[in-house]
Amino acid sequence: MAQPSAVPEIAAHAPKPAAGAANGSDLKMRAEGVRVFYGDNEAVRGVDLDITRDAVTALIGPSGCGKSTLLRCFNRMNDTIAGCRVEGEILLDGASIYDEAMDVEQLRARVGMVFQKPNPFPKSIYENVAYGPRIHGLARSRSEFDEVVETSLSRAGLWNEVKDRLDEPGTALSGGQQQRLCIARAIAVEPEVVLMDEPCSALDPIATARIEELIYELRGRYAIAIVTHNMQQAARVSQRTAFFHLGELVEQGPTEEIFTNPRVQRTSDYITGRYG
Amino acid sequence: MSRLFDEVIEGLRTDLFRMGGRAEAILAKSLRALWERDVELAGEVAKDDVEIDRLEVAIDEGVLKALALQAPVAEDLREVLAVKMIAVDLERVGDLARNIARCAHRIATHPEVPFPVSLDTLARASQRVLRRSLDAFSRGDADLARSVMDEDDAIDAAQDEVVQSMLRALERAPQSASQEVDIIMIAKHLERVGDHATNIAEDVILVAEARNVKHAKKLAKSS
Amino acid sequence: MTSPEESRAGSRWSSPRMRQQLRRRHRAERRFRRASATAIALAMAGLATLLTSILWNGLGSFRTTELRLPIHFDPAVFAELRDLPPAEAERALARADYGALVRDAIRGIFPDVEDRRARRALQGLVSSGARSELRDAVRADRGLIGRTVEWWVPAAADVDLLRKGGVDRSAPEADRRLSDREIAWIDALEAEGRLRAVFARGFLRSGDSREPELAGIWGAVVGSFWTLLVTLAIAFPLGVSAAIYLEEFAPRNRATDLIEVNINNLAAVPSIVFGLLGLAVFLNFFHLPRSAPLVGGMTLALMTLPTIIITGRVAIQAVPPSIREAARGLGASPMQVVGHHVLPLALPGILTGTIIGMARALGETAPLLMIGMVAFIADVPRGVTDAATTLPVQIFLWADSPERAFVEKTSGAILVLLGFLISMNATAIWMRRRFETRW
Repeated sequence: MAQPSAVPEIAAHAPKPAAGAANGSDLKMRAEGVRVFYGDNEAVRGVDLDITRDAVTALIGPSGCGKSTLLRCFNRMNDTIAGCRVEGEILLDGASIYDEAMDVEQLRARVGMVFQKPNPFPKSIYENVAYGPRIHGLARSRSEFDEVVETSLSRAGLWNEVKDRLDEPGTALSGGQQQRLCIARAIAVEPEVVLMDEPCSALDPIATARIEELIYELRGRYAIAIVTHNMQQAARVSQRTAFFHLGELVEQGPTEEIFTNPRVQRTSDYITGRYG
Repeated sequence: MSRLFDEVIEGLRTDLFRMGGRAEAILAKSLRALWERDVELAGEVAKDDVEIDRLEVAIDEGVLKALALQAPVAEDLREVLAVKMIAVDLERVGDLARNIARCAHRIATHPEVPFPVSLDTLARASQRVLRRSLDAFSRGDADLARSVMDEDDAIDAAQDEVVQSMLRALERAPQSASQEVDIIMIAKHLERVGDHATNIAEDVILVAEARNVKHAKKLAKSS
Repeated sequence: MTSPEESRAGSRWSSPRMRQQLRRRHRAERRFRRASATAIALAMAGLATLLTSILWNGLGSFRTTELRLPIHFDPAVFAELRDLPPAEAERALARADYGALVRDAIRGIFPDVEDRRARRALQGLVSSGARSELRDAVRADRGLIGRTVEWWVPAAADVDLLRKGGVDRSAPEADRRLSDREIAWIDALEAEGRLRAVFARGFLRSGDSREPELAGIWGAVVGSFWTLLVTLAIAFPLGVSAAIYLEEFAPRNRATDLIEVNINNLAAVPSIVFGLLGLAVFLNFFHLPRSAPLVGGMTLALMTLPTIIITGRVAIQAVPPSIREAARGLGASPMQVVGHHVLPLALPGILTGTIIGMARALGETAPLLMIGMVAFIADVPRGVTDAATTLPVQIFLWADSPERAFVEKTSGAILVLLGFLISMNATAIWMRRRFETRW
């Protein structure tokens, strides 16, 4: 519900930290001046984004606006794409993730990811969840693994459904269950941040609702950043929202403000559906 | 995500019932000030009314947030709208109680005048329908709501009686005109309370049965 | 009642022109189906003809003729044993004149044969392998010395040939392998029930021999085994590693494109070229032993490498990138992704490709001819550096041989080779079906 006196876009480029940035002590990850290039094409143009702990930050915007690309910067998954170049600073607890001292594999254990299409390994459910702790040496004995698997599956809301069939392949589950398995797999390494790239787009509405509830429950434990093209989902689930358009971060702030009184006209246009 | 919505609607209902309780309380207080000619009590009501206004603002914000963030549909949507509409009615009830208190204050500072029996009937009826309408909303009880709507005519009749009685008293004892006019005003305010209770009852039926029964009689007559 | 519009629309599809078009289309489809069926029928017919002819010729090689002789284990032949210590006695036993026992035995059946040439012809009815059989018998049981036992020994190849109808009795004697006299002897032996047909164990268990009746494929089978072992040991690790590197780690640039083109081309190079390469490099430059499975295996490995690399790459490509992403996202290093996820999932495909590559290598002749695995090798090779021959080369050698009896053996060997090839390919197909994971 934008006020008639919505501030035009020019003001969006005014000092951003004052407008909608997070409280210093809540800050978990921060992107500063991040630009991402695919070859010569600039997909993300100078973005400053905060991800706060114990909260869900939603990244919304039309297709192809760079939100997934930016999300993948936070765990350096863009490193795996040939021809992709990242400029700017990305900080985890104040330390740059591109620092030499930062082992990228450990980074990805601290900053986990859930993908758009559920992609469990073609292994047993147990092995799926145990894989992360196994390769990072977070569990040693069989009982430690058992505990991690049970805890993670419980937190993902899947334990009761699969506790009697942990040896069955992960790929035999339904779509919604597979995605919850992927979430369990991601949280099994006790990450500090969980990045979710449109986790519900491949799921039916009931499965989507369950995942949204799960995300809402998980927010107390992890800093969650979720990319979604479903505005309503962002409104329901997140505490902070950032709106992207054509590679730029147009506006970010508390979700309630963005959806009741966005400051920038472009944001208002998108949210009310008048865009495009 | 019904769980999150449930939390939101629970918050709104809590505020609404707090508001309703307040409204009932200050109505009772203003009437007690009237019966007992208690000037101090009458003075407290104005302060109490502020709390009701504060709650209305909170509910406004809550409803806005619920609609923007939860995008409720069907019964959830009707419930959120009903909360908003009932809050408006309760705020008006608060204002009416304040008005009644002002009249009570004036009556108390003037020589005593006998109150007509119908005033007591009217006062009881108004309080009763207010309480019942809020109970109906709390329980989603459409039948209770309908019983409230049915009492509306009786309340109108009681108000007429008080007015007639006071008009006759004005002729007989013009020196107590101030008190008599105040009593007429109080009767009008109490009848308005009854109307608001009816509105609340109509909102209850909207939520429970998805039927809008407002102005039913008038609309039926004109069609 | 249809409206004008409706009837116009409906009649469009049922107009005479449309109907004719429809008939034409149906006819074309029927023609197409018939053509496809004919093609398959022709192919099947060709295959059936080929198989029938091979079976017809080759099944006979699995049976051979034996001759029953009254062998008198004449103590005189073993005279010297009595005075010798045990170790020397063993050697003397091996040296004893078993041929004499055989000669006496057959002469005993036909005592009237006096002429020396005739006698030689008579002895020629028994295979030279009879001697070794008797020797093994005596070694096993010295108690035979002094006894007379009816013993079944292998008959000469010509006897077998006659019994299988390979000698034209009506042709003039000069044109035949067997003279009338010989035929008469054989018929007499037959009449006495001294000839029988048995399963030719020797075919499968012996190495090559100048005597057709003694020639077997075992030497070639073992030679093929050693050769393929070398091929597998070289081509599999190299090929799979190359496939992994090219798919997972190599940057996408001109250099790798060039490598890819070259590998694809190598797969199409005629195998004899690899033989020339082997000759030039392994034999002439490195002076490795000729005719050894080591060299043959190395040459075939070069030939099989492109196949394994290509099928390996296909199998690795088939692993969905989403699984790699998931693993990387969890913090797995590129090596862990390959080892824990890609390789296990690609392995059935890689193995299938390897088996098919091995099957192809099994049937290769030209490169092995170039590097000299074409000699007559009678001994069964015991290692990769012993001189050896392979099944297809053995077939080639026998096919080249003038003796009529080798025709049968050639077809028999072809059957054995086909048997191996079919079972290898069947294993590959079974493996592919069995381990086909659905992602």
